[in-house]
Amino acid sequence: MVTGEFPLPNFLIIGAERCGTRWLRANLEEHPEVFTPSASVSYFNSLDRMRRRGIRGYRQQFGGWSGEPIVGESSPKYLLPGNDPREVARRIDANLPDVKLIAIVREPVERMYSAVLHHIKRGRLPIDADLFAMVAHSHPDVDELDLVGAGRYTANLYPYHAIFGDRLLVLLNDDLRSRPAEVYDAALRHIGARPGFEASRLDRVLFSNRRSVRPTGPRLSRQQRRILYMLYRSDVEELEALIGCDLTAWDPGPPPFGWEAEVPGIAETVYAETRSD
Amino acid sequence: MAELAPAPNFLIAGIGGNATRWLRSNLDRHPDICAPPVDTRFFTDEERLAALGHRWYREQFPDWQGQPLIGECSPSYLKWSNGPGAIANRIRKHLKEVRVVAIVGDPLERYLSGIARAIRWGRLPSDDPGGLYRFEVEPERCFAEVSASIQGLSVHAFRLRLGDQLLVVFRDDIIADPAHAYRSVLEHIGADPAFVPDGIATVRFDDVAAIRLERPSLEEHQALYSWWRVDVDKLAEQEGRDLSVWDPGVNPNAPSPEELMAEMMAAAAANEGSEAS
Repeated sequence: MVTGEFPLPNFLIIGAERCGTRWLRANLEEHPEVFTPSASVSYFNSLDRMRRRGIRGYRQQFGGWSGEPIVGESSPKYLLPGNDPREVARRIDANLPDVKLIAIVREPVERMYSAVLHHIKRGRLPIDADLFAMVAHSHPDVDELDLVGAGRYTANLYPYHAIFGDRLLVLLNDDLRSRPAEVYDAALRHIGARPGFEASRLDRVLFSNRRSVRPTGPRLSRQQRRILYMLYRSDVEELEALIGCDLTAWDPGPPPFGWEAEVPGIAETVYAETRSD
Repeated sequence: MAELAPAPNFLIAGIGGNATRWLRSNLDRHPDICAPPVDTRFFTDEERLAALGHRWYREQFPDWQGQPLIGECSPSYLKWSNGPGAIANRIRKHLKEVRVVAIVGDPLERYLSGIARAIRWGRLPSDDPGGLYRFEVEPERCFAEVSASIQGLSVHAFRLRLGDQLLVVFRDDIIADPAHAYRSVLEHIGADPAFVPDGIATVRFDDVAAIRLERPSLEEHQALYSWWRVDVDKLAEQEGRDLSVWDPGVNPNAPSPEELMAEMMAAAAANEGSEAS
Protein backbone atom coordinates (compact mmCIF):
# COMPACT_ATOMS: atom_id res chain seq x y z
CA MET A 1 0.00 0.00 0.00
CA VAL A 2 1.26 3.49 -0.81
CA THR A 3 1.79 5.77 2.18
CA GLY A 4 0.14 8.66 0.38
CA GLU A 5 -3.15 6.76 0.38
CA PHE A 6 -3.56 7.10 4.10
CA PRO A 7 -5.67 10.08 5.09
CA LEU A 8 -5.02 12.85 7.59
CA PRO A 9 -7.63 13.09 10.36
CA ASN A 10 -10.50 15.53 10.19
CA PHE A 11 -11.18 15.30 13.93
CA LEU A 12 -9.11 14.89 17.09
CA ILE A 13 -10.09 13.97 20.63
CA ILE A 14 -7.58 16.07 22.60
CA GLY A 15 -8.33 15.00 26.20
CA ALA A 16 -8.49 15.48 29.06
CA GLU A 17 -6.89 12.35 30.46
CA ARG A 18 -9.18 10.26 32.71
CA CYS A 19 -12.32 12.01 31.44
CA GLY A 20 -13.81 9.44 29.06
CA THR A 21 -11.78 9.81 25.88
CA ARG A 22 -11.52 6.02 25.48
CA TRP A 23 -15.30 5.71 25.73
CA LEU A 24 -15.79 8.35 23.05
CA ARG A 25 -13.17 7.00 20.66
CA ALA A 26 -14.39 3.40 20.95
CA ASN A 27 -17.99 4.40 20.26
CA LEU A 28 -17.13 6.73 17.40
CA GLU A 29 -15.07 3.94 15.85
CA GLU A 30 -18.21 1.77 15.66
CA HIS A 31 -19.93 4.29 13.41
CA PRO A 32 -19.83 3.16 9.78
CA GLU A 33 -18.67 6.59 8.53
CA VAL A 34 -15.82 6.91 11.03
CA PHE A 35 -12.33 5.45 11.27
CA THR A 36 -10.00 5.87 14.25
CA PRO A 37 -6.84 3.94 15.15
CA SER A 38 -7.36 2.06 18.42
CA ALA A 39 -4.19 3.30 20.14
CA SER A 40 -3.39 6.85 21.18
CA VAL A 41 -1.32 8.47 18.41
CA SER A 42 0.26 11.30 20.46
CA TYR A 43 2.00 13.00 17.55
CA PHE A 44 1.57 16.78 17.89
CA ASN A 45 2.64 16.84 21.55
CA SER A 46 6.18 15.76 20.67
CA LEU A 47 8.25 18.01 18.43
CA ASP A 48 10.90 15.30 18.37
CA ARG A 49 8.40 12.71 17.11
CA MET A 50 7.06 15.14 14.53
CA ARG A 51 10.59 15.72 13.18
CA ARG A 52 11.51 12.04 13.16
CA ARG A 53 8.32 10.69 11.59
CA GLY A 54 7.14 13.66 9.60
CA ILE A 55 3.60 14.00 8.32
CA ARG A 56 4.06 10.80 6.26
CA GLY A 57 4.79 8.91 9.45
CA TYR A 58 1.69 10.45 11.00
CA ARG A 59 -0.43 9.31 8.05
CA GLN A 60 0.82 5.77 8.61
CA GLN A 61 -0.98 5.73 11.96
CA PHE A 62 -4.19 5.55 9.91
CA GLY A 63 -3.09 2.42 8.08
CA GLY A 64 -6.27 0.48 8.88
CA TRP A 65 -8.45 3.00 7.04
CA SER A 66 -10.80 1.54 4.48
CA GLY A 67 -12.36 4.57 2.86
CA GLU A 68 -14.48 5.94 5.74
CA PRO A 69 -15.20 9.63 5.05
CA ILE A 70 -14.44 10.73 8.62
CA VAL A 71 -11.09 9.98 10.20
CA GLY A 72 -9.96 10.84 13.68
CA GLU A 73 -7.59 10.05 16.48
CA SER A 74 -7.61 10.36 20.25
CA SER A 75 -4.55 11.74 22.05
CA PRO A 76 -5.35 12.98 25.56
CA LYS A 77 -1.76 14.11 25.92
CA TYR A 78 -2.56 17.09 23.64
CA LEU A 79 -4.24 18.79 26.59
CA LEU A 80 -1.56 18.14 29.22
CA PRO A 81 0.11 21.35 30.45
CA GLY A 82 3.50 19.62 30.47
CA ASN A 83 3.21 19.36 26.68
CA ASP A 84 2.43 23.09 26.29
CA PRO A 85 -1.11 23.01 24.83
CA ARG A 86 -0.57 26.42 23.18
CA GLU A 87 2.27 25.01 21.07
CA VAL A 88 0.38 21.77 20.39
CA ALA A 89 -2.66 23.77 19.22
CA ARG A 90 -0.48 25.80 16.82
CA ARG A 91 1.10 22.64 15.40
CA ILE A 92 -2.31 21.05 14.86
CA ASP A 93 -3.61 24.22 13.17
CA ALA A 94 -0.56 24.37 10.90
CA ASN A 95 -0.87 20.73 9.80
CA LEU A 96 -4.64 20.08 9.88
CA PRO A 97 -6.23 23.40 8.85
CA ASP A 98 -9.90 22.31 8.90
CA VAL A 99 -9.77 19.80 11.74
CA LYS A 100 -12.56 19.56 14.35
CA LEU A 101 -11.64 19.03 18.00
CA ILE A 102 -13.43 17.39 20.90
CA ALA A 103 -12.49 17.69 24.58
CA ILE A 104 -14.15 16.06 27.56
CA VAL A 105 -13.88 17.52 31.06
CA ARG A 106 -14.79 16.22 34.48
CA GLU A 107 -14.91 17.48 38.06
CA PRO A 108 -11.18 18.13 38.48
CA VAL A 109 -10.59 16.54 41.91
CA GLU A 110 -12.32 13.36 40.69
CA ARG A 111 -10.09 13.48 37.63
CA MET A 112 -7.01 13.84 39.80
CA TYR A 113 -8.01 10.86 41.96
CA SER A 114 -8.72 8.77 38.87
CA ALA A 115 -5.28 9.71 37.52
CA VAL A 116 -3.68 8.51 40.76
CA LEU A 117 -5.40 5.11 40.37
CA HIS A 118 -4.23 4.98 36.76
CA HIS A 119 -0.63 5.75 37.72
CA ILE A 120 -0.73 3.18 40.54
CA LYS A 121 -1.91 0.60 38.00
CA ARG A 122 0.97 1.53 35.69
CA GLY A 123 3.51 1.33 38.52
CA ARG A 124 4.30 5.05 38.44
CA LEU A 125 2.94 5.63 41.95
CA PRO A 126 3.07 3.29 44.98
CA ILE A 127 -0.08 1.36 45.95
CA ASP A 128 -0.30 3.40 49.18
CA ALA A 129 0.01 6.81 47.45
CA ASP A 130 -1.52 9.57 49.59
CA LEU A 131 -2.89 12.11 47.10
CA PHE A 132 -3.62 14.88 49.60
CA ALA A 133 -0.19 14.65 51.25
CA MET A 134 1.50 14.60 47.84
CA VAL A 135 -0.23 17.82 46.78
CA ALA A 136 0.10 19.52 50.18
CA HIS A 137 3.86 18.87 50.26
CA SER A 138 4.47 19.54 46.55
CA HIS A 139 5.80 16.03 45.90
CA PRO A 140 7.80 16.05 42.62
CA ASP A 141 5.44 13.41 41.13
CA VAL A 142 2.59 15.96 41.23
CA ASP A 143 4.29 18.07 38.58
CA GLU A 144 5.96 15.14 36.84
CA LEU A 145 2.58 13.45 36.23
CA ASP A 146 0.65 16.75 35.72
CA LEU A 147 -1.67 15.58 38.49
CA VAL A 148 -2.98 19.07 39.34
CA GLY A 149 -2.29 20.84 36.06
CA ALA A 150 -4.22 18.40 33.86
CA GLY A 151 -7.45 19.49 35.60
CA ARG A 152 -6.98 23.20 34.89
CA TYR A 153 -9.22 22.89 31.87
CA THR A 154 -9.60 26.57 31.00
CA ALA A 155 -5.86 27.18 31.10
CA ASN A 156 -5.27 24.16 28.87
CA LEU A 157 -8.28 24.63 26.57
CA TYR A 158 -8.19 28.39 26.05
CA PRO A 159 -5.36 28.30 23.44
CA TYR A 160 -7.41 25.76 21.46
CA HIS A 161 -10.55 27.87 21.85
CA ALA A 162 -8.67 30.96 20.60
CA ILE A 163 -7.50 29.23 17.44
CA PHE A 164 -10.34 26.83 16.65
CA GLY A 165 -13.40 28.68 18.02
CA ASP A 166 -16.57 26.70 17.29
CA ARG A 167 -14.52 23.86 15.81
CA LEU A 168 -13.75 22.89 19.43
CA LEU A 169 -16.56 21.00 21.18
CA VAL A 170 -16.29 20.61 24.95
CA LEU A 171 -18.31 17.75 26.47
CA LEU A 172 -18.99 17.08 30.14
CA ASN A 173 -18.18 13.68 31.58
CA ASP A 174 -21.22 14.19 33.85
CA ASP A 175 -23.50 14.10 30.75
CA LEU A 176 -21.60 11.16 29.31
CA ARG A 177 -22.71 9.15 32.34
CA SER A 178 -26.28 10.48 32.67
CA ARG A 179 -27.28 10.76 28.98
CA PRO A 180 -24.66 9.00 26.88
CA ALA A 181 -26.76 8.80 23.68
CA GLU A 182 -27.18 12.59 23.58
CA VAL A 183 -23.48 13.18 24.15
CA TYR A 184 -22.63 10.68 21.45
CA ASP A 185 -25.01 12.36 19.01
CA ALA A 186 -23.50 15.77 19.77
CA ALA A 187 -20.04 14.36 19.01
CA LEU A 188 -21.29 12.79 15.75
CA ARG A 189 -22.90 16.03 14.60
CA HIS A 190 -19.74 17.96 15.46
CA ILE A 191 -17.51 15.76 13.29
CA GLY A 192 -20.07 15.62 10.48
CA ALA A 193 -21.21 12.00 10.90
CA ARG A 194 -24.84 10.92 10.66
CA PRO A 195 -26.45 11.15 14.13
CA GLY A 196 -28.84 8.56 15.53
CA PHE A 197 -26.48 5.59 15.16
CA GLU A 198 -26.76 3.15 18.08
CA ALA A 199 -23.26 2.23 19.21
CA SER A 200 -23.05 -0.90 21.35
CA ARG A 201 -20.89 0.41 24.18
CA LEU A 202 -22.58 3.69 25.00
CA ASP A 203 -23.62 2.61 28.48
CA ARG A 204 -20.33 0.91 29.33
CA VAL A 205 -17.73 2.80 31.26
CA LEU A 206 -14.43 1.97 29.59
CA PHE A 207 -12.16 4.13 31.65
CA SER A 208 -12.60 2.94 35.21
CA ASN A 209 -9.73 1.62 37.26
CA ARG A 210 -11.92 1.18 40.31
CA ARG A 211 -12.35 -2.55 39.80
CA SER A 212 -8.75 -3.33 38.90
CA VAL A 213 -6.86 -1.19 41.42
CA ARG A 214 -7.15 -1.54 45.17
CA PRO A 215 -5.16 1.37 46.62
CA THR A 216 -4.15 1.04 50.26
CA GLY A 217 -3.44 4.75 50.83
CA PRO A 218 -5.87 7.05 52.66
CA ARG A 219 -9.03 8.06 50.82
CA LEU A 220 -9.76 11.76 50.39
CA SER A 221 -11.93 13.12 53.18
CA ARG A 222 -14.69 15.61 52.41
CA GLN A 223 -12.63 18.47 53.83
CA GLN A 224 -9.60 17.42 51.79
CA ARG A 225 -11.72 17.40 48.61
CA ARG A 226 -12.90 20.90 49.41
CA ILE A 227 -9.33 22.08 49.92
CA LEU A 228 -8.07 20.42 46.73
CA TYR A 229 -10.97 21.96 44.81
CA MET A 230 -9.54 25.38 45.72
CA LEU A 231 -6.76 24.62 43.22
CA TYR A 232 -9.45 24.70 40.52
CA ARG A 233 -12.10 27.16 41.73
CA SER A 234 -10.89 30.06 39.59
CA ASP A 235 -10.31 27.87 36.56
CA VAL A 236 -13.80 26.33 36.82
CA GLU A 237 -15.38 29.82 37.02
CA GLU A 238 -13.64 30.73 33.78
CA LEU A 239 -14.65 27.40 32.25
CA GLU A 240 -18.30 28.19 33.00
CA ALA A 241 -17.89 31.41 31.03
CA LEU A 242 -15.91 29.72 28.26
CA ILE A 243 -18.42 26.95 27.55
CA GLY A 244 -21.54 28.75 28.84
CA CYS A 245 -22.39 26.02 31.32
CA ASP A 246 -23.31 26.03 35.00
CA LEU A 247 -20.79 23.82 36.81
CA THR A 248 -21.87 24.49 40.40
CA ALA A 249 -22.68 20.77 40.65
CA TRP A 250 -18.91 20.17 40.70
CA ASP A 251 -18.43 22.41 43.74
CA PRO A 252 -17.91 20.27 46.88
CA GLY A 253 -18.50 23.36 49.06
CA PRO A 254 -16.26 25.93 50.73
CA PRO A 255 -13.08 24.80 52.47
CA PRO A 256 -13.07 25.13 56.27
CA PHE A 257 -12.58 28.72 57.44
CA GLY A 258 -8.88 29.29 58.08
CA TRP A 259 -7.77 26.40 55.84
CA GLU A 260 -4.83 28.40 54.46
CA ALA A 261 -2.90 28.07 57.72
CA GLU A 262 -3.34 24.27 57.67
CA VAL A 263 -1.98 23.76 54.16
CA PRO A 264 0.17 26.79 53.30
CA GLY A 265 1.67 25.06 50.25
CA ILE A 266 -1.74 24.63 48.62
CA ALA A 267 -2.88 28.13 49.67
CA GLU A 268 0.21 29.66 48.10
CA THR A 269 -0.48 27.88 44.80
CA VAL A 270 -4.14 28.91 44.87
CA TYR A 271 -3.50 32.60 45.51
CA ALA A 272 -0.64 32.83 43.03
CA GLU A 273 -3.14 31.96 40.31
CA THR A 274 -6.18 33.91 41.46
CA ARG A 275 -7.93 36.96 40.05
CA SER A 276 -7.35 40.13 42.02
CA ASP A 277 -10.91 40.66 43.18
CA MET B 1 6.93 31.75 17.51
CA ALA B 2 3.65 33.63 17.44
CA GLU B 3 3.52 37.39 16.86
CA LEU B 4 3.55 39.61 19.96
CA ALA B 5 0.10 41.10 20.58
CA PRO B 6 -0.37 44.87 20.54
CA ALA B 7 -1.09 46.65 23.83
CA PRO B 8 -4.80 46.58 24.78
CA ASN B 9 -7.09 49.17 23.25
CA PHE B 10 -9.84 48.60 25.81
CA LEU B 11 -10.05 47.73 29.50
CA ILE B 12 -12.88 46.48 31.66
CA ALA B 13 -12.40 48.03 35.07
CA GLY B 14 -15.48 46.73 36.79
CA ILE B 15 -15.99 46.56 40.50
CA GLY B 16 -15.50 42.88 41.41
CA GLY B 17 -18.72 40.91 41.57
CA ASN B 18 -20.47 43.18 39.07
CA ALA B 19 -20.63 40.98 36.04
CA THR B 20 -17.13 41.70 34.79
CA ARG B 21 -16.56 38.06 33.83
CA TRP B 22 -19.89 38.02 31.99
CA LEU B 23 -18.83 41.01 29.93
CA ARG B 24 -15.28 39.84 29.27
CA SER B 25 -16.24 36.33 28.18
CA ASN B 26 -18.99 37.60 25.88
CA LEU B 27 -16.69 40.22 24.33
CA ASP B 28 -14.19 37.42 23.75
CA ARG B 29 -16.82 35.63 21.61
CA HIS B 30 -16.99 38.59 19.22
CA PRO B 31 -14.98 37.99 16.03
CA ASP B 32 -13.30 41.44 16.23
CA ILE B 33 -12.25 41.05 19.85
CA CYS B 34 -9.59 39.25 21.87
CA ALA B 35 -10.48 39.38 25.59
CA PRO B 36 -8.81 36.37 27.22
CA PRO B 37 -9.28 35.31 30.86
CA VAL B 38 -6.20 37.14 32.13
CA ASP B 39 -6.09 39.66 34.94
CA THR B 40 -2.71 41.35 34.69
CA ARG B 41 -3.27 44.06 37.37
CA PHE B 42 -0.68 45.90 35.28
CA PHE B 43 -1.86 49.41 36.21
CA THR B 44 -2.65 48.67 39.86
CA ASP B 45 0.83 49.26 41.23
CA GLU B 46 3.40 51.77 39.93
CA GLU B 47 6.49 49.85 41.01
CA ARG B 48 5.21 46.57 39.65
CA LEU B 49 4.35 48.23 36.34
CA ALA B 50 7.85 49.69 36.04
CA ALA B 51 9.49 46.39 36.96
CA LEU B 52 7.43 44.30 34.53
CA GLY B 53 7.45 46.75 31.62
CA HIS B 54 5.43 47.07 28.42
CA ARG B 55 6.74 43.99 26.70
CA TRP B 56 5.64 41.82 29.63
CA TYR B 57 2.18 43.37 29.41
CA ARG B 58 1.87 42.51 25.72
CA GLU B 59 3.13 38.99 26.40
CA GLN B 60 0.09 38.36 28.59
CA PHE B 61 -2.01 37.93 25.42
CA PRO B 62 -0.31 34.93 23.78
CA ASP B 63 -3.58 33.70 22.24
CA TRP B 64 -4.24 36.87 20.25
CA GLN B 65 -5.21 35.85 16.72
CA GLY B 66 -4.91 39.23 15.00
CA GLN B 67 -8.25 40.68 16.13
CA PRO B 68 -8.37 44.51 15.80
CA LEU B 69 -9.61 44.92 19.39
CA ILE B 70 -7.76 43.53 22.36
CA GLY B 71 -8.54 44.04 26.02
CA GLU B 72 -8.34 42.77 29.54
CA CYS B 73 -10.54 42.83 32.59
CA SER B 74 -9.28 43.74 36.04
CA PRO B 75 -11.67 44.41 38.91
CA SER B 76 -8.67 45.79 40.82
CA TYR B 77 -8.45 48.95 38.67
CA LEU B 78 -11.60 50.52 40.10
CA LYS B 79 -11.17 49.35 43.68
CA TRP B 80 -11.12 52.38 45.94
CA SER B 81 -8.40 50.98 48.24
CA ASN B 82 -6.04 50.66 45.24
CA GLY B 83 -6.16 54.41 44.47
CA PRO B 84 -8.19 54.65 41.25
CA GLY B 85 -7.00 58.21 40.50
CA ALA B 86 -3.38 57.08 40.24
CA ILE B 87 -4.48 54.00 38.28
CA ALA B 88 -6.41 56.16 35.78
CA ASN B 89 -3.31 58.38 35.39
CA ARG B 90 -1.18 55.33 34.58
CA ILE B 91 -3.76 54.03 32.11
CA ARG B 92 -3.91 57.42 30.37
CA LYS B 93 -0.14 57.69 30.26
CA HIS B 94 0.54 54.20 28.90
CA LEU B 95 -2.55 53.59 26.74
CA LYS B 96 -3.45 57.01 25.32
CA GLU B 97 -6.47 56.12 23.18
CA VAL B 98 -7.76 53.28 25.35
CA ARG B 99 -11.51 52.85 25.86
CA VAL B 100 -12.49 51.91 29.41
CA VAL B 101 -15.67 50.21 30.59
CA ALA B 102 -16.66 50.37 34.26
CA ILE B 103 -19.45 48.17 35.57
CA VAL B 104 -21.21 49.53 38.65
CA GLY B 105 -24.30 48.45 40.54
CA ASP B 106 -26.26 48.32 43.77
CA PRO B 107 -23.52 48.36 46.43
CA LEU B 108 -25.42 45.77 48.48
CA GLU B 109 -25.30 43.26 45.62
CA ARG B 110 -21.54 43.80 45.19
CA TYR B 111 -21.05 43.51 48.93
CA LEU B 112 -23.06 40.26 49.12
CA SER B 113 -21.15 38.93 46.15
CA GLY B 114 -17.89 39.74 47.96
CA ILE B 115 -19.09 38.08 51.18
CA ALA B 116 -20.28 34.99 49.27
CA ARG B 117 -17.00 34.82 47.42
CA ALA B 118 -15.01 35.09 50.66
CA ILE B 119 -17.09 32.22 52.12
CA ARG B 120 -16.55 30.10 49.00
CA TRP B 121 -12.81 30.73 49.31
CA GLY B 122 -12.72 29.85 53.01
CA ARG B 123 -11.84 33.41 54.03
CA LEU B 124 -15.04 33.87 56.04
CA PRO B 125 -17.06 31.33 58.05
CA SER B 126 -20.36 30.25 56.50
CA ASP B 127 -22.47 29.55 59.58
CA ASP B 128 -23.53 33.05 60.67
CA PRO B 129 -24.15 35.46 57.78
CA GLY B 130 -26.08 37.85 60.06
CA GLY B 131 -22.99 38.08 62.28
CA LEU B 132 -20.97 39.02 59.21
CA TYR B 133 -23.49 41.70 58.16
CA ARG B 134 -23.43 43.21 61.67
CA PHE B 135 -19.59 43.09 61.92
CA GLU B 136 -19.82 40.70 64.86
CA VAL B 137 -17.73 38.09 63.08
CA GLU B 138 -14.42 38.87 61.31
CA PRO B 139 -15.19 42.62 61.35
CA GLU B 140 -12.07 43.71 59.46
CA ARG B 141 -12.65 41.34 56.58
CA CYS B 142 -16.34 42.27 56.45
CA PHE B 143 -15.59 45.97 56.49
CA ALA B 144 -13.15 45.49 53.62
CA GLU B 145 -16.15 44.20 51.63
CA VAL B 146 -18.14 47.33 52.61
CA SER B 147 -15.23 49.47 51.41
CA ALA B 148 -14.96 47.49 48.17
CA SER B 149 -18.50 48.63 47.30
CA ILE B 150 -17.39 52.28 47.14
CA GLN B 151 -17.77 53.08 43.46
CA GLY B 152 -18.97 56.68 43.02
CA LEU B 153 -15.60 58.07 44.11
CA SER B 154 -13.72 55.58 41.94
CA VAL B 155 -15.80 56.33 38.86
CA HIS B 156 -15.36 60.05 39.54
CA ALA B 157 -11.57 59.60 39.65
CA PHE B 158 -11.69 57.77 36.31
CA ARG B 159 -14.12 60.24 34.70
CA LEU B 160 -11.95 63.22 35.63
CA ARG B 161 -8.93 61.73 33.89
CA LEU B 162 -10.44 59.74 31.05
CA GLY B 163 -13.51 61.79 30.12
CA ASP B 164 -15.48 60.24 27.25
CA GLN B 165 -13.04 57.36 27.01
CA LEU B 166 -14.92 55.91 30.01
CA LEU B 167 -18.29 54.17 29.63
CA VAL B 168 -20.19 53.39 32.82
CA VAL B 169 -22.48 50.36 32.56
CA PHE B 170 -25.02 49.65 35.26
CA ARG B 171 -25.42 46.05 36.40
CA ASP B 172 -29.19 46.69 36.64
CA ASP B 173 -29.21 47.36 32.88
CA ILE B 174 -27.23 44.17 32.15
CA ILE B 175 -29.81 42.14 34.06
CA ALA B 176 -32.76 43.93 32.41
CA ASP B 177 -31.49 43.70 28.82
CA PRO B 178 -28.12 41.95 28.44
CA ALA B 179 -28.02 42.26 24.63
CA HIS B 180 -28.62 46.03 24.76
CA ALA B 181 -25.93 46.51 27.42
CA TYR B 182 -23.54 44.37 25.38
CA ARG B 183 -24.16 46.44 22.24
CA SER B 184 -23.51 49.68 24.12
CA VAL B 185 -20.08 48.33 25.08
CA LEU B 186 -19.38 47.24 21.49
CA GLU B 187 -20.20 50.73 20.26
CA HIS B 188 -17.98 52.31 22.91
CA ILE B 189 -14.93 50.20 22.08
CA GLY B 190 -15.48 50.37 18.32
CA ALA B 191 -16.60 46.83 17.51
CA ASP B 192 -19.38 45.84 15.11
CA PRO B 193 -22.57 46.16 17.24
CA ALA B 194 -24.50 43.79 14.96
CA PHE B 195 -22.90 40.73 16.54
CA VAL B 196 -24.41 39.43 19.77
CA PRO B 197 -23.39 35.91 20.87
CA ASP B 198 -25.95 33.17 21.49
CA GLY B 199 -26.91 32.59 25.09
CA ILE B 200 -25.76 36.02 26.21
CA ALA B 201 -28.21 35.99 29.11
CA THR B 202 -27.25 32.60 30.47
CA VAL B 203 -23.71 32.98 31.76
CA ARG B 204 -23.69 32.61 35.52
CA PHE B 205 -21.94 35.27 37.58
CA ASP B 206 -23.54 34.80 40.92
CA ASP B 207 -21.56 33.66 43.97
CA VAL B 208 -24.55 34.52 46.17
CA ALA B 209 -26.85 32.00 44.46
CA ALA B 210 -24.10 29.38 44.31
CA ILE B 211 -24.00 29.09 48.12
CA ARG B 212 -27.61 30.18 48.72
CA LEU B 213 -26.38 33.00 50.95
CA GLU B 214 -29.04 34.27 53.30
CA ARG B 215 -29.75 37.91 52.53
CA PRO B 216 -29.56 40.60 55.23
CA SER B 217 -32.67 41.76 57.05
CA LEU B 218 -34.05 45.21 56.22
CA GLU B 219 -32.39 46.59 59.35
CA GLU B 220 -29.03 45.05 58.41
CA HIS B 221 -29.39 46.36 54.85
CA GLN B 222 -30.20 49.85 56.13
CA ALA B 223 -27.18 49.82 58.45
CA LEU B 224 -24.89 48.67 55.63
CA TYR B 225 -26.30 51.21 53.17
CA SER B 226 -25.48 54.06 55.54
CA TRP B 227 -21.83 53.52 54.55
CA TRP B 228 -22.64 53.91 50.85
CA ARG B 229 -25.33 56.60 50.68
CA VAL B 230 -23.00 59.56 50.10
CA ASP B 231 -21.01 57.60 47.53
CA VAL B 232 -24.13 56.52 45.64
CA ASP B 233 -25.35 60.13 45.61
CA LYS B 234 -22.03 61.09 44.02
CA LEU B 235 -22.43 58.39 41.36
CA ALA B 236 -26.06 59.41 40.66
CA GLU B 237 -25.14 63.06 40.28
CA GLN B 238 -22.14 62.41 38.08
CA GLU B 239 -23.78 59.89 35.76
CA GLY B 240 -27.11 61.74 35.74
CA ARG B 241 -29.15 58.78 36.88
CA ASP B 242 -31.69 58.30 39.63
CA LEU B 243 -30.31 55.52 41.85
CA SER B 244 -32.81 55.88 44.70
CA VAL B 245 -34.10 52.38 43.91
CA TRP B 246 -30.99 51.03 45.67
CA ASP B 247 -31.71 52.93 48.88
CA PRO B 248 -33.52 50.89 51.57
CA GLY B 249 -34.23 54.02 53.62
CA VAL B 250 -33.00 55.03 57.03
CA ASN B 251 -33.83 53.09 60.18
CA PRO B 252 -34.05 55.64 63.01
CA ASN B 253 -33.08 52.96 65.52
CA ALA B 254 -29.96 51.84 63.64
CA PRO B 255 -26.56 53.02 64.78
CA SER B 256 -24.98 55.75 62.67
CA PRO B 257 -21.72 55.08 60.80
CA GLU B 258 -19.94 57.02 63.56
CA GLU B 259 -21.38 54.72 66.23
CA LEU B 260 -20.63 51.62 64.14
CA MET B 261 -17.05 52.78 63.64
CA ALA B 262 -16.64 53.34 67.40
CA GLU B 263 -17.99 49.82 68.06
CA MET B 264 -15.63 48.31 65.51
CA MET B 265 -12.62 50.17 66.93
CA ALA B 266 -13.53 48.92 70.40
CA ALA B 267 -13.93 45.35 69.12
CA ALA B 268 -10.57 45.56 67.29
CA ALA B 269 -8.86 46.92 70.41
CA ALA B 270 -10.35 44.13 72.54
CA ASN B 271 -9.23 41.59 69.95
CA GLU B 272 -5.68 42.93 69.92
CA GLY B 273 -5.68 42.98 73.71
CA SER B 274 -6.70 39.33 73.91
CA GLU B 275 -4.09 38.35 71.28
CA ALA B 276 -1.37 40.23 73.16
CA SER B 277 -2.22 38.50 76.40
